[in-house]
Amino acid sequence: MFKKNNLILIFTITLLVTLSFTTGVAQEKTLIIGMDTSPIVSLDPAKAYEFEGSWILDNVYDKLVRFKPGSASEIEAGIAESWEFDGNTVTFTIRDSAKFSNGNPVDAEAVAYSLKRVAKLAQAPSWVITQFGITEDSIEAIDNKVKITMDKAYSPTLVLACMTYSVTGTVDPEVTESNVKEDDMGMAYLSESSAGSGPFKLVSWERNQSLVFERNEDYWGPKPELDKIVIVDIPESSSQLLQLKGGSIDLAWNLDNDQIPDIEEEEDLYVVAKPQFKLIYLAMNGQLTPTDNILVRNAIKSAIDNDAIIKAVGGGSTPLHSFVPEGMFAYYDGDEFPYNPDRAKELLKEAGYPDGFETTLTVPDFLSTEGTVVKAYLDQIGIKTNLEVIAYTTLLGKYRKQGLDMVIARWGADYADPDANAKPFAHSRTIGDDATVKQLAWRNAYANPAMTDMVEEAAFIQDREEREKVYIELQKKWQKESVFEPLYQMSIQLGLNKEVGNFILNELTQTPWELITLK
Amino acid sequence: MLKYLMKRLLLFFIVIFGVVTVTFFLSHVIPADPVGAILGENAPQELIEKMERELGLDLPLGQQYSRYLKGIINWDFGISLRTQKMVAEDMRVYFPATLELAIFALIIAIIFGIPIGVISAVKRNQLPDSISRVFSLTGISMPAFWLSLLFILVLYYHLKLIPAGGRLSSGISPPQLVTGLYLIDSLIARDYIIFWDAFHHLIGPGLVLGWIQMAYICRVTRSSMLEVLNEEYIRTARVKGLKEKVVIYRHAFKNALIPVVTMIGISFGYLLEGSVLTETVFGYPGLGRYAVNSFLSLDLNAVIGSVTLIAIAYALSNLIVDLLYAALDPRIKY
Repeated sequence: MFKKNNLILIFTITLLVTLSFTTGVAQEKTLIIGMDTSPIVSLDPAKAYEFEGSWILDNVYDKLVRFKPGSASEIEAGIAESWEFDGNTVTFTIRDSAKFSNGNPVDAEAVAYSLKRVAKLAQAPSWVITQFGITEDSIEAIDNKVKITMDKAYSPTLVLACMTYSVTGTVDPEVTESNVKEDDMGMAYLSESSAGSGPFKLVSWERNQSLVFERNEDYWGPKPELDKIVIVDIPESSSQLLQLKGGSIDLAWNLDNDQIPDIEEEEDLYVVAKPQFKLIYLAMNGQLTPTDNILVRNAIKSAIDNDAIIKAVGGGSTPLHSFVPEGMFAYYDGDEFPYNPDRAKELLKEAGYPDGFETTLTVPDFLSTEGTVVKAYLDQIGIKTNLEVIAYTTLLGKYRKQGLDMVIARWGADYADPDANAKPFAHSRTIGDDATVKQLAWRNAYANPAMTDMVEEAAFIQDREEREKVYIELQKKWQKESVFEPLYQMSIQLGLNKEVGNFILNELTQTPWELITLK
Repeated sequence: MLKYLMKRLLLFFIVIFGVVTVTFFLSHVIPADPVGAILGENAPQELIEKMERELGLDLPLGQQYSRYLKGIINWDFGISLRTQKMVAEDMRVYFPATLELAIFALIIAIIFGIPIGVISAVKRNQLPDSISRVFSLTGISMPAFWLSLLFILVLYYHLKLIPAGGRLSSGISPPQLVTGLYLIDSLIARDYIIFWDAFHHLIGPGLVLGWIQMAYICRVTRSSMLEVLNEEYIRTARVKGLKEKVVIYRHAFKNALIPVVTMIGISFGYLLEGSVLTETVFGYPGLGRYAVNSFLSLDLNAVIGSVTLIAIAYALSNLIVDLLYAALDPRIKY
């Protein structure tokens, strides 16, 4: 038996010895980011439509214009050094020093080619620019200028805000054309490679493993300090936290609220937080009784204590009462129906429901806390609420068919202009199949032609101040009449190693990688 | 024997057909919106309708079903909505990763499970038996998720013995694709750096999965050994004056192996389909994670592809176990 024990001992020792050969690859100035990369579908600017994908593409491709670092309202020059609006046309002058990462020059032809490509491919994010009536034929390259003709004279603020979206990234026509498969305009190739002029280029992407980016030596802007950025796929937030503490990664992207204090305690780590243009809202069906009654809806709005929800969620959120989030142009912080249970009961009585009623509140699994709190407050005023917690994909299926009584869901603005949220939340002329925008208001079977007129009108107002006034008025009306009650505005919270500096985030989750420093 | 083999093969195909059919109808009956889920909450209605037409999701269910069956026979599950690649091509990447991890874990489970099981049977109710019981009960009762985090905390964070996750370190590219198993491919390419790196990345998830399966194998070995040690012929052997070692290893152990082989077969099947949680915590890019990501995003083609593959692997490992019986025990006649 002694020999057998020896055998086990030898096995254990061998295992420990092999274990101790830990890997260590020599590294230059490399930033290593831990992220759940599973949402990223494609890295083709014409196709990418997720936060993670856009966050990357903003640094691989140059857009015509962009937001100043950390801002989501002040526009600055991108690949276009100047622009001019004239009625329904806008002309961008392209800077002449820019080069793609392979050395090819970026010119007006390349910019026009890229925008036409977006219109022709008509993928998920294309509507951000085609909503202005932009087609392949309305984009023209003239010398060093790109002239875009829209179907109407839209507000310049709105058009420029949309032009900062990653879908407008300029691709190298030569590389794209030489990698065309069938009719895809290089989409399969660009989904995993890059052909841009941004500060970084994609070197490799092993799905579910890692993405590697290297500095573009030909970048026209400030020279990035980092040589390399590696995004390692770590799906689980606890693993991300451990690896950040253990020093394997410099940045943890997907942390839970309850992990933040853990990071704040560590001496060599810190948290970067920023409110985002993402919100959580409660919506009621505008067609079904009793929420078709405005008094009942206003009773529900008065019955919910938003601060209690924020407290229950435990950080990562800021109060919000309207559809324009904080940090966006035309933000309004008033609240027509603050928490007031007495008023809620009175309104219910006035509506003819002194003893309340029974209803179903549907929430996705990741918003079950919010659902529980809202249910408790509704129960308090006599509304017996059945809480239905289901998978988000299942919820979306029912929601799109106008099939929910009451729902809590999330919404993220695609571009930094009130129009991005006014359309989904307030534009609904009819609840029938002929509606032009079948978004959130429509999904809750709610139509309000007067508000719809205001949304449409505001998109064309040229004067910024006048436009702001219309939006503020619209928000007040929306708070009084609509079927929505915003619960809070979401924040992003990242954990970083103190050696990483100047990591800037704006409300659209955009970070200029070229400004990041690393000790 | 041949008749039995044919019968088993027939059964095999019936099982696969059943799994494919149930999966198809289940995934199409649930009140969800796959295209909406892929395109995201902000996608306009027209775009959703256009994509549904492209994918044939607007066709009658029967027609979709026959299209699917035809595809599966040709091993063509269509394009994954999430990765935008052929599902068969995706599985060619992710399945070998899971297979490699499963084999690695199974080796650990066998190497430790069987000897420990034999020792606890021989030293029944003595100290070694008690130690092994604690060890195996821990493996059986601890959730894989928690065990994985514990391993990362201890072996990576505190002892710095293993990398925290993934399949290779960043900066190391995968070896030339031959089998898809990095350990083998790197040896074929004679690239020992990749070999060591891949090996190190297997240790964490391999130990977790290996421990859990080891626990089962160990318990089964122990009870099977105890049963055999009480048999008449063992007593006879001892009475004949054979050395204890010979009694245990030549007479008892061989006969106790049959239930252990069954357990190993079940373990292997389980490792191929049940390592999702461990793969997730360790960020290991295997088929389990691919399948779960597909389920969560309602990527129907990928769901059907991965379920079919897992069902085949499971049914196949059961088939092999049944055939092994005959080889191990000449008394079993079919």
